[in-house]
Amino acid sequence: MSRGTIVLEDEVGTFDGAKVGMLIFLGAETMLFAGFVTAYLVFRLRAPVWPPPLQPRLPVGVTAVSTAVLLLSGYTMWRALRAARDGDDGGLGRSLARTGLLGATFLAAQGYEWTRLLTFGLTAPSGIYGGTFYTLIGAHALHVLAALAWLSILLLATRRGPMVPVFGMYWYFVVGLWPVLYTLVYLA
Amino acid sequence: MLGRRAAALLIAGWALLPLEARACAICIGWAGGGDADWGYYWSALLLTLLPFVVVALVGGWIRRALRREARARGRTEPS
Repeated sequence: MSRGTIVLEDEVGTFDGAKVGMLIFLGAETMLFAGFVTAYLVFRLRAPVWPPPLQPRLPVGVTAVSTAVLLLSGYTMWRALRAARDGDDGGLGRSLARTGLLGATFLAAQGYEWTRLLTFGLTAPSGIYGGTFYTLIGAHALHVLAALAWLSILLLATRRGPMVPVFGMYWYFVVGLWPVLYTLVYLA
Repeated sequence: MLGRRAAALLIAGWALLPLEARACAICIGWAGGGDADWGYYWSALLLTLLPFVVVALVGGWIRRALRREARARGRTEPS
């Protein structure tokens, strides 16, 4: 067992406590986003017209490209996990750096899209359309930002191996959640 | 504290007048009808069932990890 890994042990066996902690955290995160998504659905289904009149339309095409970028970061994360398992430190560093770069690109595209939407008058207090959009998409963007901060710490750490699988779980959650939100908010 | 009789009366009242039980800030102003009923129904169902699903998944993962470890230990220990 590598150093820095918390291990829970009983008479049956051992398992990684950090992974269990992350799993419980992701369970709570799932509930948070389920709450946001159901609130969005209720508001949307109650509205006679959606998007409401005189509100800007969301940029479906640009976001489709950033969705592809984020999905690609899921692949580079998978490569990083494989490199960590094989003990390939160089490959791990490269794959993590690519994952971070793709995540930052996604976030930059989201930020650019937001500034454009703000100039078109779509703000959080402008109505239920803006409020639900910024809550749902903003909560996801905050999660990507947190993941990037964690990734930066991992990249700077000399012994990153034990925490990479736990970070991978979080990154897969952030990547896996986005297509659901994109379909719901931008396409449906 | 609410007595048993009072609680039973309250529940019976809600059963007889279900619209009054819509105490949520969003639902209370809703007269019903259209797609929103579908939204309320499935949202309530999803949010009710999801914690059980999450707990079952976490429990399943821990159980699987322990079993895998026990199998690996069984293979390495001399019989």
